[in-house]
Amino acid sequence: MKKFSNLGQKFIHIANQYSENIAIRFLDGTKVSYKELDDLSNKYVQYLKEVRIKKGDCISLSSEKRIESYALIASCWKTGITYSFFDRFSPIERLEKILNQCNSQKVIGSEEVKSLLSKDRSNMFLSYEDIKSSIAKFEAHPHKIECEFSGDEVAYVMFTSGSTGIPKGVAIKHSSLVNFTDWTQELYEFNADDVFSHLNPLYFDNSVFDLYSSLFIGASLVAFARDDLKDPGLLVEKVDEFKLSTWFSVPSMIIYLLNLGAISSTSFKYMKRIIFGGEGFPKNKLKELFELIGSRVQLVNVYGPTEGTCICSSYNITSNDFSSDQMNTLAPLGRDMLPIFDYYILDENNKEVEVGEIGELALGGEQLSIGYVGNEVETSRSFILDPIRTNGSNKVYKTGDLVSRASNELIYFAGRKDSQIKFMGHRVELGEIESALDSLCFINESCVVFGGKSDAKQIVAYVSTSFKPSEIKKSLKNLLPPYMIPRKIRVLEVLPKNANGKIDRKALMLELSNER
Amino acid sequence: MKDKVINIIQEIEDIDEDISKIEGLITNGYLDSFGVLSLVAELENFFSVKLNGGSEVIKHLESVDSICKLVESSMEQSNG
Repeated sequence: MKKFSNLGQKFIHIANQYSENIAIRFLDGTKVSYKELDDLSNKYVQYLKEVRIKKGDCISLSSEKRIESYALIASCWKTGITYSFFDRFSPIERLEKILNQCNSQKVIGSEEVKSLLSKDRSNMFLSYEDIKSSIAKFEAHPHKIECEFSGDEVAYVMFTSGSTGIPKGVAIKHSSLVNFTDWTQELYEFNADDVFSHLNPLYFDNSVFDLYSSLFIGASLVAFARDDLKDPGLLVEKVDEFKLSTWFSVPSMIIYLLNLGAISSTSFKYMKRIIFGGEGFPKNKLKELFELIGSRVQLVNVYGPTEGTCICSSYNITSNDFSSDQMNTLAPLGRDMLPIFDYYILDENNKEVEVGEIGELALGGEQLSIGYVGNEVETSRSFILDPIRTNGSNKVYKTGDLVSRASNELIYFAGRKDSQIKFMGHRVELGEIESALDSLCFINESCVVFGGKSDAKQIVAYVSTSFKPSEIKKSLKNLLPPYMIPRKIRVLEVLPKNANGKIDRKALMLELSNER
Repeated sequence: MKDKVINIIQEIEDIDEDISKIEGLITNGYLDSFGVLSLVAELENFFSVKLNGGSEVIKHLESVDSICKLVESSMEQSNG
């Protein structure tokens, strides 16, 4: 396999090789070939130069699945400019925190995004519509697009929840993504005839999987917009209409389709593999899916934190998983991590645990993020010097995920070390929600828990206040994205305390599990 | 049943309107996908029923009246 230094070089190579293949399809029938995407991105390269954005700078893009977004991503691949997507439906205060963290030089989106920005910020706003008219003068094939820069340049910054209330921007290098595109192609035997689902929003880490796996092998990506996911029947219909061969989503999305009866044994006619990750897939629901289509579609459980370039382990589900004790409540994460990763399972003193014991997963190797942009404190807390091979300067990322390795080498998820949870695949620090609640002057104290039925867990906030839940929710909507708003808010006179005088989280969890 | 359905919806998504009169709970954006999942889970949990309607089920979740009809027909089917 030819080795490329950066994504730009590899994308140009693929775009030349598969110039007539369709790179991206949209549900309205619009499509763009590799040649068209390459040409358009060349124009954007020239435009970005004209507005003085250069290698190492960061541009923030509104998460909109439109041709211009993908062409801008490709122009960043070619120039070494970093991109970062934001959710335009996120509250303005959170958006400002995100834009500050990554020190964006420009904010790009459709015209209505401008009204979301502060006055200072709107001066650095560029609309897709304006750019479209500005690029007309540029050639699609300028003499030289150099792409001569190191793989150490940051390709994108992906934001995740931060327990202190400030989102963390995970910086991922070009070289890690070049490796990612190599290993996914090899492991899953992807090829240019594959058609990938592109369901996840671009600001969400899971979107990396299909975007990068697809566009670096000459395959097609079918972009589903936010509203396209509302109707499960229609969604499943589109999967067959567009002849999707590879599905990638969080288990919640599949469970949503299962619970609403949208998937039958004849669904997904052209599908070769359904890959899911971002959260655990409860065994009962996975079995339901397996019984419907598992005999003809390979089901794959993947695992990986954003800091490890999307995925670090993969496990093929087989019928053995349901007939043996290989799966207790969740599928194994994998038989070992993928070869490109070094990893340890560590105890509290950063020593490796024995087989069968539970410890914290620490990841090392070239796929690791270089850290959180603009956040040295969190970076040094999570990315530590390799505690086992102490003779070098290599770092490992302490994931906070508790895992165990069984004697058969399968690795199992065993919970979290902290109060981070996964909701609909989104990484959520309950501390960030508590921090938002505590910032409201009418909240005396708060505690946020995650619990309920295994396939319908919910974020529930317990608060002491004289305000109504509806009023609290309204205020939270100005501070948190929709997926972080507690589904239920329970108002108590005072929150229960444990022997140390701290809020008794366990008692509240118990109260939640006793609710009908 | 109607009051309970309204309570469930109100608990999932605080709506400052008379929920019983809303047509288009989903198409008009009152409930997002998290809300739809929660609604189905809560209805199935409270009424101890598996909602029928297959992939079309979502079309029956647009108003309180259509939800009540869906729950009633699902209960009849599971009892019958």
